[in-house]
Amino acid sequence: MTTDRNDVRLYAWLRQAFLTGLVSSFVLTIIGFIWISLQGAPVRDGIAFGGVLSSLLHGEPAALVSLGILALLLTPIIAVIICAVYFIIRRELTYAAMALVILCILSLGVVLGAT
Amino acid sequence: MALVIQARTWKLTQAITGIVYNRNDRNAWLQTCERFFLHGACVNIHGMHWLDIGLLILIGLAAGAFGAMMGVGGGIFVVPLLTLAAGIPLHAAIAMSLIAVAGTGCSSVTSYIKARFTNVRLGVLLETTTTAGALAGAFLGMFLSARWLSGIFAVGLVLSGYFMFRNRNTAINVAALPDTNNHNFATSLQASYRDPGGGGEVRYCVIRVRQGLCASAVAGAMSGLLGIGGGVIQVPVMNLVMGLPIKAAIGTSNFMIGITAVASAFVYYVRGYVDLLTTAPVLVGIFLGAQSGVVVTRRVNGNKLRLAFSAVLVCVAVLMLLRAVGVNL
Repeated sequence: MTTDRNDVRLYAWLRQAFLTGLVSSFVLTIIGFIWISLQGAPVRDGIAFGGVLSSLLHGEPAALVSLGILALLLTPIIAVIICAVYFIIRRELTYAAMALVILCILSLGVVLGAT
Repeated sequence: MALVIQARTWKLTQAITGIVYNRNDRNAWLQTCERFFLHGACVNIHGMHWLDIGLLILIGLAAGAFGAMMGVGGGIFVVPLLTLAAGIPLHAAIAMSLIAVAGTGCSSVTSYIKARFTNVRLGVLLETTTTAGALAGAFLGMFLSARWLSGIFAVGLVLSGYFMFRNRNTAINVAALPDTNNHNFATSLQASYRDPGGGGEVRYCVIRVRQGLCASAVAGAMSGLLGIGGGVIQVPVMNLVMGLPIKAAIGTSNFMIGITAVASAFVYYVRGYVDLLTTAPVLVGIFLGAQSGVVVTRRVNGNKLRLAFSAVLVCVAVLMLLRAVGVNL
């Protein structure tokens, strides 16, 4: 039951998730920032959660940076989901419940922030 | 080709900033440098010079490198640097810092997971109270004034510096404990990793879980309040109280700070408080700096790093304390 006995898959999944999130966030942020520089138009202070996709469809480069930040913020959440799934598969229900509690608190943060 | 790009960049800079700069104009350079180092640059999205962008990337680099190196996320550097050096308002700096902390965590944890420094089970356990504390802190932070926040931040830094200064390798070797063959909850938190610094395989167990959970809640609240990762509390607590080796504490903290920062960063992001143009360069610096920080952690003596880190914390704390009492340097 020690962490270093059968957790090779967990560590591999987590590493893959963090790498994917990191690279996509980095690429989106860089492209968005270069696009903003080339356009030279004023940029909105921030794009709220719901407006990212619509702003992107309207050709706003800042939306790409916002999407990059969103990708970054979603990465740890995906890591927690991976942990929950892994612990459920391993039938380590105590840790699975803990991961789900974390997800609930994070969701509460998004909902309370939006309202 | 390079000249064409340089000329185009120069024109773009003029278009964005609205100021006609001459590449050979030494006075413009000096004025900008003076603005940065003597008066603090007022960075805003409508008047951002490329030197502002360079400064923000540098801030991200420094914060990412130190944050990943010490498992603290870098928020303790990002917030003071953005407010003191770049002149950004404290609440905006906190929102930006939380994003940066998430970046440091995600960037460095890939290497720490590969090295097996990260104890995922312990991270998940402690995160239950940390995220709850972070959420409470984020909402509380919106109702507190910048001066109060500066004061709290300074006190937090002094405490962190003290803990870091006192920190010694207090890891409890699992081999030294009697084998009870009792696979209870604490046993499931045992872990091991191979130390590339020549220490061979390091096995350890986790003790004082309840105290760790309480400290995690405080770390989370500080994270939400002050825009830091909470690692300044988590690393000393895991090392001094819970018995983790310093490298395992740093690896686990880096896994946790990303999740902790996200809990409160979403509150700012969802409300559209994040200044995209200033956050982007900081993030780029963070991504690059965190990777270099991980490399240094593996090679440099931990005790020397810790002492230097304590000194830096105290210096920044003094600056923030002065700001809290109304003295702006």
